[in-house]
Amino acid sequence: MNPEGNNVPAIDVDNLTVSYGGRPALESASFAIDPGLMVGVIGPNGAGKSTLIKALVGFVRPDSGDIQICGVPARSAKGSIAYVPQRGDLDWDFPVTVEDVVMMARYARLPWWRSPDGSDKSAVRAAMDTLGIGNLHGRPIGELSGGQKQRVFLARALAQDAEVFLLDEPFAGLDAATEKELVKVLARVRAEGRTLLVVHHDLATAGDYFDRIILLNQKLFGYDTPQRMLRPDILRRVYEHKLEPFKHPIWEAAAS
Amino acid sequence: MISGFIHFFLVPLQEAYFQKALIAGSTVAIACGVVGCLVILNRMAFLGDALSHAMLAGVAGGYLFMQFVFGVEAHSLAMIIGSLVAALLAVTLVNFVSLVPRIKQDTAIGIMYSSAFSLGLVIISLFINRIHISISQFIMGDILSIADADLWATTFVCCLVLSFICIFFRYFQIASFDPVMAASIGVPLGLVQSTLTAGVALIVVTGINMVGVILIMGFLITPAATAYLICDRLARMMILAAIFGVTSVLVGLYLSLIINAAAGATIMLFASMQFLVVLIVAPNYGLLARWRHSPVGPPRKVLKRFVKSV
Ligand SMILES: Nc1ncnc2c1ncn2[C@@H]1O[C@H](COP(=O)(O)OP(=O)(O)OP(=O)(O)O)[C@@H](O)[C@H]1O
Ligand SMILES: [Mg+2]
Repeated sequence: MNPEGNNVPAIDVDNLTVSYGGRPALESASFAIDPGLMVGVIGPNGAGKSTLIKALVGFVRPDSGDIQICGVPARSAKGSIAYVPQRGDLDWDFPVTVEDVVMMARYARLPWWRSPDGSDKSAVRAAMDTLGIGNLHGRPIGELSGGQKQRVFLARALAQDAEVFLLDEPFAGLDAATEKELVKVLARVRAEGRTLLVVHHDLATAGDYFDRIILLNQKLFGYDTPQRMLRPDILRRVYEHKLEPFKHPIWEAAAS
Repeated sequence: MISGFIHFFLVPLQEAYFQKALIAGSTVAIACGVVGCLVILNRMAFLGDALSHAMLAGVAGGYLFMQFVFGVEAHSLAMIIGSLVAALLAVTLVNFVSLVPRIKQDTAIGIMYSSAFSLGLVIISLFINRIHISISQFIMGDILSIADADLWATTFVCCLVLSFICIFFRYFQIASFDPVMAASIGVPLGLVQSTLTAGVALIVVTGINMVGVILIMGFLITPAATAYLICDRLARMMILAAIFGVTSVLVGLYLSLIINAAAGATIMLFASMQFLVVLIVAPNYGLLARWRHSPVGPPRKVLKRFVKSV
């Protein structure tokens, strides 16, 4: 995919197995994502999508397997991964303001003895302006609407200036206009040559948004282009035949 | 009249015991307030409880060790170290017991908490002739009879913990708010967690001298919870929690003189009253503010719920 042909993958996962208390959530998954791609991770609830992301950032320790980010082991790649959490994973009563949250991104590269300087502050402000939340900077995070919260975390990811973006269901519960706007922001990130891994639930839009699709349900069911991955027979296996009742544009497109 | 009033405040200040109570109490209150914020936000309150109860065994152990090995009585540094070792063991045991998926962490803590406390009691009763630790002091504390050595140890420990939290504030903040993000930028979560636990253990050890095992958790949590009702930024919450802690110590100490009541308990009672008042009047998250914004109107909804629950 990459023009030179000798580029190292942005995300290289080899035989990754993760389990919680003996129960496997992810079993021997392997894939390699080239830089500059926007990849959708698709699978039913409990498929291990968040687990995959948490393993990539080093939050959960894999049972086995090897993860490399931009050619270096994930452990030493800290700072080059920006993370957007699944909305239900956070405590929204936590006493932080919008600006505090976006500033967290800058601590990725700031040594512990140095406090944020002008360049950090302007990066934070630029990221907030890009997402149209500049006027919310002093507001406590819990007072925001769902869409505003999502913007804040996307702004935090932008402010980090990372090579790899991992986003856990960034579009969940957003209205169509907001979703479109955020997708545009992500497209711009990809245009800069960065790599995005996005957990996504809407099969109808997945084909438009992503260059590649990862199908996941405990095991990896495939990593390929949307045309090859979003096929009824494969999806039925991934969703364990629970998708059948839904009439989906994807089915019709595939049938014709 | 006014001079009488001033007189009332100044007279106790000339007494060494009162000065020490005030200084040590305020120092512990500041540290408790700041650490308490992190304890609340990380939902560690129950763990702190287990720590404090495990410490009786540690105090007894440290006491016996110094007595048998060096022949020194009631060495306060040894007792602090002993309590820390006990706290560390307690945490390790909690984590060990909750390795079995069926035993959840609160269950594990509940088991630990009582068994470690019993161990302490058993040790003390076995060596009743050699250990001169008053169990009632361990349980109730005695803020009005603080030894100089304890005052120094308290000040040192509190400054140590506070400066740690100030220096690494950003990592404590990120790790408490969004641990996965913290991991992604390389914050060593395990280290942050153990530092916090050690900090809680240190503060609890020094605080137990003053307010005892039962009140120390209230000391740690109540001022922080009071501040939480008002603040929307962690740093401000910590400062305010420290202030609420100090006012509790100040007012509580004088109040206990006036009504001639147990000092530690009076302090705690005042802290709780502060909390109740703030709970009602806090501008955004208080009960009055919620009633004002609720369409059903204040008392009816609450009364209904109250009557139902009765
Ligand atoms: N901390 C945990 N402890 C134990 N089991 C867990 C934990 N986190 C996740 N699991 C289990 O691992 C499996 C995968 O969970 P994961 O959160 O990765 O799913 P997901 O694909 O992100 O689902 P969703 O679409 O609902 O977000 C689930 O069966 C879940 O119950
Ligand atoms: Mg998930």
